[in-house]
Amino acid sequence: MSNKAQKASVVSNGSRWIRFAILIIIGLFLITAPQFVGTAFVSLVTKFFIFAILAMSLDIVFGYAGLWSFCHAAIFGVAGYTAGILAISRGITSFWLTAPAGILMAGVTAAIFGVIALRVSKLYFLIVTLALGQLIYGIALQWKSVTHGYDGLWNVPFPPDIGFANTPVSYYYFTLIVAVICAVLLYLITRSPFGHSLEGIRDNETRMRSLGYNTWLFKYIAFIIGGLFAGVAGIVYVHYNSVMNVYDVGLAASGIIILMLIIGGAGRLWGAIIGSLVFVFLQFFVSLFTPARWPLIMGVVFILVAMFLREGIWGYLNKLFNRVVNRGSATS
Amino acid sequence: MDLLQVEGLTKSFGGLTVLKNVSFTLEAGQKIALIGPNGAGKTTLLNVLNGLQPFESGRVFFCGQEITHAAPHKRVSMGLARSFQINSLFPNLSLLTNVLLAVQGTINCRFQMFRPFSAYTDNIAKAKELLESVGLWEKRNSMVAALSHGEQRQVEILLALASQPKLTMLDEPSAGLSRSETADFINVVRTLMRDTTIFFSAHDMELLFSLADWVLVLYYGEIIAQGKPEVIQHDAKVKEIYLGEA
Repeated sequence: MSNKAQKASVVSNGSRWIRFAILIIIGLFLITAPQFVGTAFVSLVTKFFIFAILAMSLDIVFGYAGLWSFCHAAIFGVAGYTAGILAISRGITSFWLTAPAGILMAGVTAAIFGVIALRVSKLYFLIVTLALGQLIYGIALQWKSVTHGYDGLWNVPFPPDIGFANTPVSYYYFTLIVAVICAVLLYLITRSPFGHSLEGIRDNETRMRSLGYNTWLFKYIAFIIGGLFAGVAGIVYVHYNSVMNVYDVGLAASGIIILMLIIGGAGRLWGAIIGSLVFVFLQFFVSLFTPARWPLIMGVVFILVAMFLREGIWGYLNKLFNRVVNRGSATS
Repeated sequence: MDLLQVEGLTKSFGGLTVLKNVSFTLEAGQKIALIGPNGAGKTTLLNVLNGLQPFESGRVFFCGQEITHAAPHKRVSMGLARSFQINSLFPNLSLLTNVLLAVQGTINCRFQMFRPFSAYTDNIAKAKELLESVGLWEKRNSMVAALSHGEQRQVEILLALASQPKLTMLDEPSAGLSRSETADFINVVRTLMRDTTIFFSAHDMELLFSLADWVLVLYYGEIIAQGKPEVIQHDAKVKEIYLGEA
């Protein structure tokens, strides 16, 4: 028994090195990629970074705290609109003013929405957040003097006062750095006592209350953290896309982030990263061949994952990886 | 000193009154059993005392402080913990994580975000002590769902004890255990519970008579008798309604 356990721990130590090596290879690839791929690819990967931040931020709320939030794109949009409006209409050129303002607005929105939505749970939480998200959509659509309604914001420039982030390639690196910082911070949170408490609340809230946890406060903090990081994604997005419009904050946009999580595997940050990777790349390549049928293909992928990969693609890859590594060490 | 004082507790579900003007006090250092036939209101009483269910009237005092309207987590931080009749664990988290969540429940580190869970060696030492006391430390990395029912019943109690409560309420601790399992289980409970006051609901007479030194009899929402186990055993009214007509 203990022998077997010992062996298992040796194996997991070995696999940890292999995982680390894979991470290094991915990292080197991402750092060097712009040198040998085209602009379209650079732009595509930048988009992936942004959606990875967004999906990871929702994972804290959805995957870890178990809150079925359907207004995540709206909170993301609040940050994007705030930064975009300040930059274009108000003529505030300093990224160091517009970015914190956008993230702050996203945090405030999450703090207000959280108070309202956390009065209920599960499906009711989903419905209330859905309604709150549509409220933001409504504001983006109707408050024409500020948001320009259907037209949205146009020609949002690259952040002018970050010298190294004013071309597509340099903006790629800027986004990469932001995404890595976000991923590290969120990873630390998921590993911390707070993160584990969220998992406990997701799995059995009644018991957590009986163990001394003010579960409401934990969920509220998680919701705000998710909102702040969604805000970061919103800021990076508006400067990347140069356009911000109502579709970015609507119901469908919120649904897409949830789809990314479910496809990749909710409750694991890697799941969020892989989900956004699959989504962004599939969307791009499928749209090249058959733009009109993109939603159809996406639907099929979603159904397949839901039917055959309950823990998402990451859950499957993880199992596969463990099986291969264990077999390798068993034969050697 | 009275550890827990309950005055005139009344609770109903719709038209059904499940607790009728229940009053009693629990003394520190005792092992108090709560017995009564199915549907007597035992679990409801524990849920109300735990703060999980609202009630219509009555007041509750713990250590001299009123906790009538206190939230469950406040009660736990004051030292009032409980376990559940139906296993209420975290089946998809590891055994060690289950116990660590319970240990940190009343410690401020639970809000800490940037230091790993596994870096809190004090908590781990405490969890180790608890798990070793029931011989489950070796299984700390198993998912709780993979443990046997008997082991899960023990974990159920460990989670309640992890915050080192002044009063531990156990809801049918031996629920679902076979006769032979119950005998071992009683020994475990007895060693674990040496220094705490416990208030437990029980169905099992063996558990009752080997653990309790005071018994409350709940019958359709009313406390109809209380006393030492030997006395209750011979109480005519209790015999009639609870142990069956003699």
